[in-house]
Amino acid sequence: MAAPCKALDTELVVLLVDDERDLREAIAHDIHLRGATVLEADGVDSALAVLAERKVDVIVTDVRMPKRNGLDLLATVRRGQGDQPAVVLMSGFAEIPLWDAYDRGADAFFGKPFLPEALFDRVRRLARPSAQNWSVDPGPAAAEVNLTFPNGEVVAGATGFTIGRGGMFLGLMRRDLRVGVLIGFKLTVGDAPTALQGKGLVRWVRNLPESGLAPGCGVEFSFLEPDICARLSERLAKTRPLAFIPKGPKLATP
Amino acid sequence: MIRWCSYCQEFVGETAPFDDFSLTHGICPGCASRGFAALAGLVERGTQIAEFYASLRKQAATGELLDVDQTIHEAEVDLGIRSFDLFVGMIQPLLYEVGKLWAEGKVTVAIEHQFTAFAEGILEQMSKRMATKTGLEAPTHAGVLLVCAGGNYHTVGVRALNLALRDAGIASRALFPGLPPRDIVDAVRRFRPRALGVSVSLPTQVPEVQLVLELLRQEPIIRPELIVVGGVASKSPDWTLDGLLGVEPAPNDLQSTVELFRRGVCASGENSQTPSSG
Repeated sequence: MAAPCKALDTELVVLLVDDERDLREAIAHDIHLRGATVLEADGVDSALAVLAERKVDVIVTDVRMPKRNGLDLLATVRRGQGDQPAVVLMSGFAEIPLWDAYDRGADAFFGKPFLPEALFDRVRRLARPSAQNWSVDPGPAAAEVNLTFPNGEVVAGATGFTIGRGGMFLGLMRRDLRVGVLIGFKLTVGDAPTALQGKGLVRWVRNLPESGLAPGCGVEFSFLEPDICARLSERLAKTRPLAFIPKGPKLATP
Repeated sequence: MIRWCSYCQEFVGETAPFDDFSLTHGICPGCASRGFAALAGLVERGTQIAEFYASLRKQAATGELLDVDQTIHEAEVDLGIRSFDLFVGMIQPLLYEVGKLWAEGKVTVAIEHQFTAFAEGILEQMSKRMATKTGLEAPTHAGVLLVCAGGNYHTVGVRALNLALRDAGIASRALFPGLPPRDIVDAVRRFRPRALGVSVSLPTQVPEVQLVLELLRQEPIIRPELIVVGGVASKSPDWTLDGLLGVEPAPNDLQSTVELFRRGVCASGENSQTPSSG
């Protein structure tokens, strides 16, 4: 049985990090009205000071700040064994590739401008155990991916998959795999039982040889078949990968 | 850093570090006071503007040809971005970004020049449109004269300030690129500004400004009451006004600079000893 979520938002402590004071205060006020406790920091150093003093459930951090950026904060937190989920706020004039940030420990993104209500929904979801989030089928998928990789070989243009804390890199380019699309997937390796089966949202698609990374897409898990969910949760508890969605392998050199 | 309201998508001001021309996205007091419930309609527009910026950014870095008129039309008509905000909040940061990419050897000098020409084209268009709107194309009365110090070929800042001053209703004229000291003094004699702004891009140009000041001292009748020195060099922490007696340093941010000139123009306008009235 999945662990209970935080039923009362008063138990939820959110650390909000943004150098833009007006925006930070406005969001903090809104989240506070929704019942959570909000701790504020205006930069990486002050955020680390808060984390040293207080228990925090979810970190919400801006990326672009003077001196050190939000991803530096996540790197420092993760190095110190901090495993709080983290929402990264980007300008909308995105300065960093999503695959890079998901790979470096971010669990979710919001492009500015956004509405605090949507942010708070996401924060609440992230505060719950992953297994609980993966237990509800979101409905029909817009695309299906069924792949079997015998002995790790390339199959029908698919180079494989890599699993992270909250999703996977899928080395497959297909027209119907677009950002925001809910896909169903069933992935098997050799004769072993199905490795991964469920549904997920495509968060990014990459076909950018100059990045030096293999083409493919990043999929965030929305739903996993119960036995697979149990196996994966157990495995993730042991391995504690940094990446929420791995950015995938480097391009094979010809 | 340039402060940008991510909700109304307008330039808000600047914040430290002032020699970093990248954007920091926040919320302006106007949007903050309206409350998020009233801002829901702006979120979709914000996404479209972010896509527009991403497209500009990509084209700037890859050297794709950008069309000035089409860009302004798309920004103003399709997305409702004020042309001043387009320049200050989008083109200007990209200009510095492309310059940085060139310095790092990541783009060719041709790409850097091409984007600079595009930015200047945007400024030119904005200047023409503003002139039509305000009738300030060729202010013959005393106002603000902005010049670049001899050797300063970085004209974007002066041109942007010129537009900001005009946008604020202050009669302003900008001359560029850098002029020799005697030509600057000739321009002062010709336009009789109440305030003079001199842009310096490198500390090595300071002696040029010193010579301007010396020449103006010799002709007190035309010397503007307010002389402001600023520019890229003044945003460096190493900047000093030593050797530039009697001048005001330009504030680090655009809005404060506009206010400084406004005060200078107003104060001298009330002074019966101003060159224009004397």
